[in-house]
Amino acid sequence: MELSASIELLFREAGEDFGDRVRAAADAGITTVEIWQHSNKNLKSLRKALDASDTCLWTLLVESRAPLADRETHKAFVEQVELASRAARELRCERIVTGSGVGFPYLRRAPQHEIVVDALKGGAEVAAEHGVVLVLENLNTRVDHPGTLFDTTSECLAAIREVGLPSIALLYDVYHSLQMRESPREEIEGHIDLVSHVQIADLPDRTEPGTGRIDWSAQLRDLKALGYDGPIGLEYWPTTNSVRSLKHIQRIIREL
Amino acid sequence: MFELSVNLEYMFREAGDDLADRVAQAAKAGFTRAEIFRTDDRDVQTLAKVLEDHGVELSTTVADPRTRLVDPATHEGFLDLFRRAAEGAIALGCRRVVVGSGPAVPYQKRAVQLETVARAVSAAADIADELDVTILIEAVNTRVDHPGVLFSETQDAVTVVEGVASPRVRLLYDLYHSVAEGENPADVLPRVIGLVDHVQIADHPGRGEPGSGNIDWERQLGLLQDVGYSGVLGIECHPTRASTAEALQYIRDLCAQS
Repeated sequence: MELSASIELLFREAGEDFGDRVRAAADAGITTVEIWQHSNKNLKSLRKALDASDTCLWTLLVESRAPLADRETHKAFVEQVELASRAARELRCERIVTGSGVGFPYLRRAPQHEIVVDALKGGAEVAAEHGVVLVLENLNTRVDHPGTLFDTTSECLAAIREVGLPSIALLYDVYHSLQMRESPREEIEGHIDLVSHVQIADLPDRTEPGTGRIDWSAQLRDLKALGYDGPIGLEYWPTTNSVRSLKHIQRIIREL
Repeated sequence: MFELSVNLEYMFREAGDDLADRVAQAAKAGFTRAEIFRTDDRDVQTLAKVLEDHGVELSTTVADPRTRLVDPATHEGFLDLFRRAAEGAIALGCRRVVVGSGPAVPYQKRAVQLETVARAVSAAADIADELDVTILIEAVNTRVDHPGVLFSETQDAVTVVEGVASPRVRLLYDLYHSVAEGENPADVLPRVIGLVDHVQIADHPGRGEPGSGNIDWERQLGLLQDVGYSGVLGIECHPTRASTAEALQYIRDLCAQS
């Protein structure tokens, strides 16, 4: 298994320039990275840094926090998918990430789910035109993102099946899933074909693996046994310098 | 064993849109306690007289729950709204006003949002004290009915009630919402019963009348007895039968038996 580092949270020691963070990650042996926004970055120099250090950009975000359960947001959402897709192509990145946005308290979940599925379908169609995959991420409502509509893995998976296009898949965030008290094995079993990416962080504080209560050796073994063979995305707040924060998970991967 | 109170927003709708007619219908069916939501959009004086004429006592009203209390900028307006809601309740002879959290915001931690809401409730508690009413804090489910609200697990409401620590601020435990959110009342109730001032029920799934879903009501009523609950049971459901009185016969019989 390979590691992919969020250079929004890791390698901040290298400074504000994301090219510098890419180089710092490569120096630490991490040649797959992830970013959040594309619009606040110089894509040309980032591309140059990625190429120079033979690093692959694994994901970037669709810059919409819009509540997709509101049809009024769909047009702007699809436009953001378009922009994210273009940026992704420019950076040779194949995955653009979205969530559902918040839910509305006075409409039942079932109709809101259907409306979000319509938005995702529109987004996945645009993503397909650009040859990228729209990946839907589960976010926890218990601790970090109260109000979010799609806060369970099963609801994300159901929506992805309903969209039914090869250009939509799941970003399975194990941290968010565990904060929702899910059992990763049970959630993912039978659905590995839809998992395009996995992210991790330890609980309870979203810090590096080894600083919390999760047995990452067991978690990664489970993912591997279920057939996941992509990179493991590190999206955590390091409690120490980035290189040192990697030690625990690197050792687990070596011993897997 | 338990006195029942009927929600007149969801039930006795067969009597028509006028709340007065629903009061009359509920009274005719033998109910002497009722619950409504907002009072600010209603003719309170007329309703007070109707309640009195039919010998129906109002157990709870609701302060408009749409205020986004996680935003401190809403608090001043909320306190005005709460004062009017409390005055409306009092005019109807009711001393319990339900307060919800309103919608959550996604990019702030839950703990911080709960603290902000607790500050609003704490300020409302001073008004409640002045007017001699009790604030009932209620969690509602996000799984089925109310996605996006902040108070979705009983523990969210408990955190705020305990944080405010005022005798004027108590818990409304809605067993339907609790079950719909994935909780087991047998785990939750023993822990929180000391804070509970009112209990509401409906069956799950479907939020129909007790007996229309999967909840074992003999067991749940037994649990409420075991934990020492002696208050009123508010029925807040969407009856699956045309006649609310007929729909509620099962739970009435059950309450009469034990």
